[in-house]
Amino acid sequence: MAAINTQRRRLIKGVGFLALSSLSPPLLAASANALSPEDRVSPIQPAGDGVAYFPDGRLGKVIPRSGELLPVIGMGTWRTFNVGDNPRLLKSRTQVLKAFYAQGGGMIDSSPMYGSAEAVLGHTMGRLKQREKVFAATKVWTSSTQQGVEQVEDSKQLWGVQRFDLFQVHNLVNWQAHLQHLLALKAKGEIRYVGITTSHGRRHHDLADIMKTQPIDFVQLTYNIVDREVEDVLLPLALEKDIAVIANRPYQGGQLMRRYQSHELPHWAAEIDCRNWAEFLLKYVVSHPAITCAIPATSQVEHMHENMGALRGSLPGENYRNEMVAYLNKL
Amino acid sequence: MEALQYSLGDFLLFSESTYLELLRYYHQDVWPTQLLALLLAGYCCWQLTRASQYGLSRILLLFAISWWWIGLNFLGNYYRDINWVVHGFVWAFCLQGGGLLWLAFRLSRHQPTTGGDQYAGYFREGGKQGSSEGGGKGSGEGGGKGSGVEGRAAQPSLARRGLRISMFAAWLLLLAAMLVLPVSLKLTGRHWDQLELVFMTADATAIATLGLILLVRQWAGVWPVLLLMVMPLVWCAFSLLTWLAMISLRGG
Repeated sequence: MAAINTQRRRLIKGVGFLALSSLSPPLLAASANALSPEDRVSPIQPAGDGVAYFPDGRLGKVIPRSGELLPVIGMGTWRTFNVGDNPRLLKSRTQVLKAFYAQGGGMIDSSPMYGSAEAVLGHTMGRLKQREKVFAATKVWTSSTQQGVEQVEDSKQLWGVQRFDLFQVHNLVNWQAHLQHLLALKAKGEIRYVGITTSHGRRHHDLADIMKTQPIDFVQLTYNIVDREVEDVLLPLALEKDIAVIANRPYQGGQLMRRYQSHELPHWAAEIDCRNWAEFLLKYVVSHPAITCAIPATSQVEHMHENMGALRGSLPGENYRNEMVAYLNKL
Repeated sequence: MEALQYSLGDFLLFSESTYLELLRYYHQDVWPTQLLALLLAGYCCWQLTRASQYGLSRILLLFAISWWWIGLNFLGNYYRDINWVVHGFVWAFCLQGGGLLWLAFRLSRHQPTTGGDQYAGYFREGGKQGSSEGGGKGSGEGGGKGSGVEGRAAQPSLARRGLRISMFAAWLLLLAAMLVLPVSLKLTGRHWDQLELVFMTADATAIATLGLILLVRQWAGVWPVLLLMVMPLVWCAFSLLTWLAMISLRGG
């Protein structure tokens, strides 16, 4: 496994992907499908797309503005971590977070909009005593500039962290004022990255304008195998502007799992290291060259393990990605 | 292009399982207040069958207290933790409690009717006979107070029919809140400590309050009744949407 990973890292650094054919016989053996020979032997993203592996084999992608490597699977907290101070649910979410840590997940994303989610995160991270292990990302969500300043401090208190890795303006609300404040905090070293978020496909024109004109490090948007509108403009723009992209709603709020989990995976799913629908859907998302990470949310340890499965193995190339979409369209 | 659309579930801040756990947590915390609530519900049913204005005013007083209790405790200390939208409802519930207290006070100052059975007369005796009796009493005692009882004999059709319908709806709502809702929830698999109960949780109390206000509408006047129905109706609509959203997300 280690040898293969080493080769994969070499590949990412510029070795042509045909080299993989000599290293990965199982991939060659799976030749009974309709994909081109090139795609069968090159499930790994080609060099230059920012894909890399951590020493323990986790898939990562490079944050363009810094070169920092981030695991491709993170965790969202919308709905799942908003459990108030219910002791039973706090214990359950602590187990979910523990599984996330154990599997090497990267970014945890939250927002003041998510009810008690930030407080619950602070509680669960405190119980596990591993606050420093995560890439902490949250948001400012208020139309008031002054309240935005206060929310930054509130979030620090709630999470129990000294500084955030990423602070974002939630859904472009009062983004001019908040962005100015966040950029000032970044300049002072109080946060590391600054971003803007949207979801459900809203305000993409505004987001594109911000990406063209503002010095942001991250954008967060909705992207999944069904909602692919962002492939037209926003994702190419992110690549052009060296902006990292976080994909929210990778399961379309759970609808994709509900729709497809009763169906069989395609027979070629193993060729792209997908053992279940979670891995299939997540690998589609994070295999886009512009996507830095996806942030699926779950309240169950079992589902967390499935999500984290997408952190391992290979990523589908372009032909496989087309086949993934075509397969779902047939279901 | 705004390609993607919101669904109702997209507005829900929490999952159904989280809400059910919240109900369980709340019920366990306030145990054995539920026993008191059941006793009070029984007392209310007994008073409702007697149908005296004093009895109704006592029921209104109990409901006023329960709106405060549910607003400040269930909503303020529990539900608000997972649903910031509820924050605004806390004070609205207190305001509703104040309104019900005012109505209880107003009703207690009415002269008691000798039969003490004005609304029950309509309900039990099919309206026609009851209306002529009740109309006679009402015109003698409640005249000039805007009760709406007087003159019904002279206006035999629409007003009487409306009153009968409202009485019927009132009893249905009370029955639904006190019995049908908790029993049906139990039958759908809810645990005992996840039930919606009158005097304990918002849904059942709001439904029962609607019934109660319909029962006393003939003494309360039109505008107080309409105003006091706003909050229960808003809560019922809010709660219905919340439940529809939770149902839409089942299986995820």
